Amino acid sequence: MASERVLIVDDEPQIRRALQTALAGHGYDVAVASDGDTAMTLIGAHPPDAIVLDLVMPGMDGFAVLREIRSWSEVPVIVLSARGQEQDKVSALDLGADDYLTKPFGMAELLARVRVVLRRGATTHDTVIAFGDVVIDLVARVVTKVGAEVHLTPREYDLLRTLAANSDKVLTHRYLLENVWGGYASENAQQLRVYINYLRRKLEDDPARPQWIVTEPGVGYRLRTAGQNPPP
Amino acid sequence: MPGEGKRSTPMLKLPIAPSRTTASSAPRHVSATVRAQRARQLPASVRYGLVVAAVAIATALMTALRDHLGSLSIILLYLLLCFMLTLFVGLGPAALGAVLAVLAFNYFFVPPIHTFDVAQTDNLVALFVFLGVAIITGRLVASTRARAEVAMREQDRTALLYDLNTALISDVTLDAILATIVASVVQIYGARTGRILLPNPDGRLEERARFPASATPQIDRQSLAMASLVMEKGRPAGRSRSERRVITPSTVLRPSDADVLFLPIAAAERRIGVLEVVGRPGGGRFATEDEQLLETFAAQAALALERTRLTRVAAEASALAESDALKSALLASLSHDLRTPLAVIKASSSSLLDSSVAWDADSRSEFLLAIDEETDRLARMVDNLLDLTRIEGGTLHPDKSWYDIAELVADVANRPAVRSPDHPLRVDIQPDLPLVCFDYVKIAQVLVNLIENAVKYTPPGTPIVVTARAARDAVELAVTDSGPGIPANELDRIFDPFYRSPRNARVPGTGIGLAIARGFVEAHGGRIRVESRPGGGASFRFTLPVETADGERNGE
Repeated sequence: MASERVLIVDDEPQIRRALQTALAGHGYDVAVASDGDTAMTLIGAHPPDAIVLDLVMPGMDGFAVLREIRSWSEVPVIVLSARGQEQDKVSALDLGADDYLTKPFGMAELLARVRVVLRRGATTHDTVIAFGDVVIDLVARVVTKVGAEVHLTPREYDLLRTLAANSDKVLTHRYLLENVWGGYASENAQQLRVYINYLRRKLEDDPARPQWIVTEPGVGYRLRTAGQNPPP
Repeated sequence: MPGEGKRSTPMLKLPIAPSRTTASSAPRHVSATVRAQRARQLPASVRYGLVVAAVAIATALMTALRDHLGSLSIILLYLLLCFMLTLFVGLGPAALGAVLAVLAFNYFFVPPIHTFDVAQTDNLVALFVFLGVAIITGRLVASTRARAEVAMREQDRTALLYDLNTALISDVTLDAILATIVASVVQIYGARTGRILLPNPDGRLEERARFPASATPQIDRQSLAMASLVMEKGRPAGRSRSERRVITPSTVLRPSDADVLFLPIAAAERRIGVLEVVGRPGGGRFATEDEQLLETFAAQAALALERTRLTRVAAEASALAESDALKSALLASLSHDLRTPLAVIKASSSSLLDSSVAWDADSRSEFLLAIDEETDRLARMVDNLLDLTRIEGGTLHPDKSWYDIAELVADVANRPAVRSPDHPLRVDIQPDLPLVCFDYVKIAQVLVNLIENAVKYTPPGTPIVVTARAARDAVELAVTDSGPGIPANELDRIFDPFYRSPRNARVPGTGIGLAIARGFVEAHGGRIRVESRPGGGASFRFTLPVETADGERNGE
C-alpha cells in the first residue's frame, strides 16, 4: 500500500470528510484544508505528493491556489469542478493542473487519477510506452501495432509522442496545438481533430469508438494506457 | 394631459441671446430686411399705387420749391426717390416710378413747362440719361439687396438652428426634448403653434407635445389624416385651414398654398413622428425657404429624439444583461448547492462498494452517516424549491389550527438544525400570549429559516434572540442578531427570491430561505420586514394575525 501524502482542499466539510475517510482507507496519508490560505500554509509546512483541489471556493478560489502552487512547485494537482463548466477545467489545466474530475464522481475514479499523477511524479519518463497492442519506442521513433510497424507522418508522430509523454493525463487543445503545431490558431484546431482521427484509424481497433486516444469533451484529449478504468 | 406641467418648463431655459429678448413678445428676428421683405409682399396694386403716390408727392413738393431748385438738383432728387422705391417696393414698381419721374420732370420742370415737349436738345439728353441711370442703378440696388437678404436669411437660419440645438442638448428625457422642439417652433422660429405626433404602440399617431399649452388640445381629424400621410410618405405636406376638403394624396398642398405645415421627423431612414407647424411668422403662406428651414429643424429634432431612443435601448440592454447575470449567478449557485450533497453521496457510496478495501466499522458508519445527512440536505433543498414554486405560483394553502406560540418557539429552538455552537440562542416570549391559528410546519419553517439566516451571516460568538410580543390584532415574532446589519438599499430586496447580497458572495447560499419565509408569512395574512439597527444587527420581524373565534367562523 502507498503511504503518499494527499492534501484535500474543499470548502464543503462533508466532502472533505468523505474523501478523507475513503483515501485514508486506501492507505494514503490525508491532510485537509477548508480554504486556500490554509492549503498554502499546509503545503509550505509539509509538502504533499498530490493535491485534490476544489475550484469553487469562497475567498481564495482554486484557480488562485493553483497559480500560487505552480509558481514554485510541480506537485501534481487534480482539480474538482462541476459539469458544464468546461472552460473552468480548461483554464485550470492551462494553469498547470494535472487532471480534473467532475462532481459527483466515484471514488474509484478519483483513486485511479491519484495513482496516475503519483506514478508520473515518481518515475522518470519511459522511453517505451505501450497501450493495448501498440508499442511506441520514443528512442527509435518506431510505432508498432501487433508487432507490425505503423507508418506515421512526422506530424502524426509528434502528436502521438506528445500524448504518450503525458499518458493518462488530459491535454488541452491549446497544449497540443502549442506543442505540436507551435501556435494556437483556429485553423490548426481543425487540423488537430483531423490528425487525432488519422491516429485513431491507424492505432485503434475500432476508430469510431476509441479506447486509447479518448476525447475529453470540451477540454482536449487523453492517451489512456493500462491502469485506468474507463469512465462510467 | 399628464405631461402638461413638465412640458412647459423647458421653454424657460431656451437660451435666447440677450440682444434678442428686447421685444419679448415678438419673434426676435424681425430685422429691417424682413420688414422690407414684408412690404414687398404687399399686393402688387398697393405697391404700384404707393409708387404713383410717392412720385406725385415728391413732384408737388419740388414744384412748390421750384424757385430754389436748379434742374440738376431736381433730377438728383428724383434719382434718390427712385433708389428708395427700388429698396422698398421692388424692381417692377420702381421702374414705373422711374418712368413717371421722367414724365413728371419733363412736364413740370423742363421748358416749355406743362407740356411734354422738349425745347432744348440738352434737356432731352438729360431726360434719357436720367431714365437710363434710374433703371440701371435700380437693378443694381435690387440685386445687391437680394444678395443681402439671402445672407441675412442664412444668418437667421443658422442662429435659429443654433438656438434649437443649444436648447436640445441639455434635455435628456423624451418628454423634455419634445417640449423643447415645439416650444422652439413657436419661440425661436415664430410660428403660432407647434405640435408633435408620435406613433403609439399600435402604430397610430398621437399628440405627444404641443406649444403653447393653450393651443387646441386635440388635433382635428383632417390634420391627423394629413399627419399620417406625411408619416407614411416621409415627405412634408401642407394644408390650408380654410379648406375643409377630405384629405387624400391629391388634396395635399404645396407649402406655398398652405398655412399649416406637416414635416416628417426622421433620422437615418427611421421615421419617428410628425411635426405640425401652424401659422407662418408674419402671416401668409409658407414659402420654400420656410419649408427648408423647418425641415432642417425637424432633422435636428429627429437627431435629439434618436439620441434618447438609443440611450433607452442601451439602458434596456444593460438591464437585460443584468438580469441575465442574475440568472447565471442563480444557476451557478443552485448547481453548486445541489452538486455538493450529490458528490458526498457518490463518494461515500462508491467507497462502500469498493471491495478492494475492508472498511472498519468507524469508516463504514462515517460513510453511511454522510449519505444519510446529505440525503436529508438534498430533500430539504427540493422541498424549498417546491415551496418557492408554490409561493410564486400562488398555490400555497396553509393547513391551520390553534397553537401556542411559546411552544412553537421552544420546539424550533431545540432543533439540531438551528443549534449552532457559535451562536448562543436566547428566547424571550411575552407571557399569556393568545393562541394563534397557523400552519405549524410552515411557521416553524419561517423561524428556522430566519435563525439559519442569522447564523450564516453573523460573526461567530454573537448571540441570536428570538422574541414574541402581542401587537394590535396580531402576535409579532422577531429574530434579532448582533451582526453587521443590512444596508438600507438592500432592506427591500432581501426577501426577493434568489436575491443575494453582493457583500455575502463568499457565503454559499441560494437566496431562497427568506423568500420562503415571506411567502409563508403572507399566506397567513401576516407581514414580514427587516430592521437594521444603527448599532449593528438586523431584526427580522413578522406578524401572525390573531383571529377571533367569530372571525374564524365568518372566514369559513
